[in-house]
Amino acid sequence: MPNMNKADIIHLSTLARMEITAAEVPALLEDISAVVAYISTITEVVGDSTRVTTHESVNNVFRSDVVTIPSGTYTKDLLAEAPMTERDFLVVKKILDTD
Amino acid sequence: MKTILQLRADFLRGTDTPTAAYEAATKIITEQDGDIHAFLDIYVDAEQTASQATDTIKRDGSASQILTGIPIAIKNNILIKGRTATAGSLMLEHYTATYDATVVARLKSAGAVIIGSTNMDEFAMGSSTENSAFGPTKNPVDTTRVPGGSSGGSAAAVAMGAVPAALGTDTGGSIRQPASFCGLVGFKPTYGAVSRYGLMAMGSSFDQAGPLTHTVADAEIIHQVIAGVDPLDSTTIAADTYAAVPTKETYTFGVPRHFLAEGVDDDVMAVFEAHLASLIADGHKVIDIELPLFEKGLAAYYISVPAEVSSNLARYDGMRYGLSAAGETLLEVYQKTRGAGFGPEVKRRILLGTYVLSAGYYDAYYGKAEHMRDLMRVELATVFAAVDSIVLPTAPTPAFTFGAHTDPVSLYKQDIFTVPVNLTGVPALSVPGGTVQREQKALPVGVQYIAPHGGDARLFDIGKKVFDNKLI
Repeated sequence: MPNMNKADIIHLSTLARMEITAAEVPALLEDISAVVAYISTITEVVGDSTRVTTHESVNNVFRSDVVTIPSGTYTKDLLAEAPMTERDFLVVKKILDTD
Repeated sequence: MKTILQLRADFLRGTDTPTAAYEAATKIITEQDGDIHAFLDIYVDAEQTASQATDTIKRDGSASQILTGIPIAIKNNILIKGRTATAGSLMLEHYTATYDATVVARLKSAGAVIIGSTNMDEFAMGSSTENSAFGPTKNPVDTTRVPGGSSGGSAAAVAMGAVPAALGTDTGGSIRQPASFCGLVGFKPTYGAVSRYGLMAMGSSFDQAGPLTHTVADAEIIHQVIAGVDPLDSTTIAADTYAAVPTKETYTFGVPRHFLAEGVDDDVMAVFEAHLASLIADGHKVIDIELPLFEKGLAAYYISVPAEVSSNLARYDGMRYGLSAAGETLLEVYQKTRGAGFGPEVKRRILLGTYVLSAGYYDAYYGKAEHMRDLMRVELATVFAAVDSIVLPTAPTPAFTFGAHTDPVSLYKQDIFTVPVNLTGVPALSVPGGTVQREQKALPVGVQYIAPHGGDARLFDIGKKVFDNKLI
């Protein structure tokens, strides 16, 4: 089990696209290290054996490939919840720098 | 407070009306909820629904739907069209649901009067309702103590007598543990028995919605209304998905004694032992069983659930609904929105989930946890070949005081008896087992019954035999 440090916590927050303040880091490091140490006990039980999915309860579920709701039925309601819209679109920051 | 069945009988007899029941509910809320804080929102226009229900009862009598005019509260992570659905989070403080969850639609068609939404741990992560962004809920039995969680608001709403029933959701004990802490019946159905459409996903392979009530009969009524196949949730199961689990005159109960050897308060254990003695006195059999993997199960839970949490909560990105923080770039909008919108416990679990799903760690954690769930299902199947139901305390302690658990692992261990149920997908029912004394207060503790997959009806039968039938 690798020991975690502050940089690991900051890296995880970047991966999770979630800002954390410098003040939050120490508590998160302490808590997450404790939980990681705890969940690592799973190896003692499961060991190195690999998973075999045999339980009968897993089965495929299909539905007909048909349109059940006419296009636009919920557009207005859904867009009303959006932070920024233009006509029937969501407005977001541009992701490609074309300059 | 009347039960659903008592209200129904009084409505049909004409000695009570849905309008009067609605007024009684709002009176209790006005008097008590300023202190208890079970509700996040009260729907004043529910008065009209109650009034229509009064007319329906007059007109249709016993031909009316079973829940006609029954006041019900709904945990705030379940969508009700046109109502705010916060999930106890700043992220969704101003979010209005655009559709009804299937469970809500079914309650409405059965005639229920939904009078408000209830407080909860943020995105259902917690065991005390202390993690709500809108402040904690107090336990009506003892207001210095937590009501349990995450469905603490729903439990408090029923315990204070505002409603005979409330819906909660249960990912690792979030219906059963608050039921235990507040002296109520709480039911977690077989995974797939109840549609998750319109429930805010926490751990998609764990989550189920279910009732908190005063009696097992009431829990069964609510469950029968909300359960069943839903084309909008492909994980819902048909009645014949699992082998039949018949009801019986007397049952053989299994007790995993080794599991209870430590960590359970002595007086909670004494209540449990007395409950077992009453089972034997009633002609049931109680035998010792071994469930070695159940003890290690909690570790699997705190791998698989954070993994599903970090994936499910990726949707809260400030683009389509909910909080959106200003930022220079798209990435900044994501980061600032999520940084500002999520509370400490949610952040902790998202980061933990991100960690266990990281490249190189997936096999070490998530793969092993899912493997553990398979092994636990096998272990359970072996045990259920010998017993009809497993009996355990619902929680190792009665309701604790606010701030009692500051480190996450100690709080997580509160869930040790409830999470194996969600890890394996079997149904479980918590019924009040008795009380223990803490600082001159009698605090309720629950007893939990677990049945094989598809054994929901068996649990209601057991619950009525061991609890309802013993009520005066």
